Amino acid sequence: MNNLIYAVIFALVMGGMYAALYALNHRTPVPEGCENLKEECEGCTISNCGNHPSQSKIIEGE
Amino acid sequence: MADLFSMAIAAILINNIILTKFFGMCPFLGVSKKTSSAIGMGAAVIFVIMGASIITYFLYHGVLVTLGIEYMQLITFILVIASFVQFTEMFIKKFSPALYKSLGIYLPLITTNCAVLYVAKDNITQNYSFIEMLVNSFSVPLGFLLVLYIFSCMRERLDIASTPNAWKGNPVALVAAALMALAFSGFAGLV
Amino acid sequence: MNRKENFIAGFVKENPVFGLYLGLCSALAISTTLDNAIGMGLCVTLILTASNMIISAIRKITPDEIRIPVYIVVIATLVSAVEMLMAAFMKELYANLGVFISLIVVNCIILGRAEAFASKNGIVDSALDGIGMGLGYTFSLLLISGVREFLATASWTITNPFNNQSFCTLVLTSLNHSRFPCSIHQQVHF
Repeated sequence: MNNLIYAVIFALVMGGMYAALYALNHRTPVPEGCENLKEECEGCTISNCGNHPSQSKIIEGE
Repeated sequence: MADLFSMAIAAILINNIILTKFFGMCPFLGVSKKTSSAIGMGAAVIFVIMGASIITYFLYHGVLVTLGIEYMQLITFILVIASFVQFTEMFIKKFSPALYKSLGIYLPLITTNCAVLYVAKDNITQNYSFIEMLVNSFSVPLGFLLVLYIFSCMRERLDIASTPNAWKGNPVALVAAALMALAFSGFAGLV
Repeated sequence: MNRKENFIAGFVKENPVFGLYLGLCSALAISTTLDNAIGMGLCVTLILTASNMIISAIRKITPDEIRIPVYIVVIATLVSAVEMLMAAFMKELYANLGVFISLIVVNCIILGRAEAFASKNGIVDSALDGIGMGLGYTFSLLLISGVREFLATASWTITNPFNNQSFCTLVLTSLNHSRFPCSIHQQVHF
């Protein structure tokens, strides 16, 4: 029973840490000259990559 | 020492993570169009695997085993990897804009790279000591970088070759990858 | 009609493996036998449907800023649950699939569908999308593993994952050694 409580607390701590870091990271301003990294990405032909233009099309289209 | 060295050679050449275990196929096909992006991605993967492996190793042996909640392994590991990637991105955004310009675009993709989670889990299931864990989590992504770089060189060459229409793009790249896997199987008896 | 089209698209035009190149790692690594393909495909379908439904159900109360962390926690929880169930009830299949069950967490299909579809649509639509995409994935695994199992063993076998007894076996044997192939033996046990 104790284990279960530990597990829940641990999961909450880890999840909270990730959420906090994620939010902090997205609030940190992007350095100068890097604003259009996604649009300038030419490394990819395969739609799997999250930066690929077709990904944003799928998201907008639906 | 010799053991560690042969372990590293085995991880880089013989049991190459992409060509024999099929982990990290997504960036292998996705980010191999140009050699510069291949090196950027490979370097970012080495850094994230090293960092995430060390943290998960200590968390597993220090916290999960002590509290008797080993079944939380998967959730812990994926959250550590994701947090580590976020932290790294934030850190280089603040302190090294130049590095961010070259690596920034690859970092978010690493969260869903199965190689990272695989190495973290492998370090636990193989019962590695700390030194072995360090060697393993450095040499596995090094093999990843090596194969990614070679493959991107091949694709740059394929781009200017005249291929039949039906083979353009992914099909011919997949055939090239298959031939490369065949070549790497020649290392099998090395260690 | 629109729902039906979405469902069909998961099979052919937007097939996760052949069309979108999603989930290639597991598709290549475990597609050695039909059993593995069916087991893995159904696992992914189950997790994808469940995660799509949960994410769609909580889409209005999820803070937009931290939605990706929420998705990852939901998916990781589901995968852990499925992994433990499989370890308990389908030992053979669990041993064969190995680490790839836990790697479903980082399978791009699941996070991709959560972000692209489930976070914007209702529960029923999201569930249908999950089933369609999952079956499309299963279908492509079946195609690859059908070829690979036949090349490796010259037979097709389908096994019941719960007690590890084979349902049916299709064996290609050569009756006369100088000619190939001569007959197909079929054994069906029910």
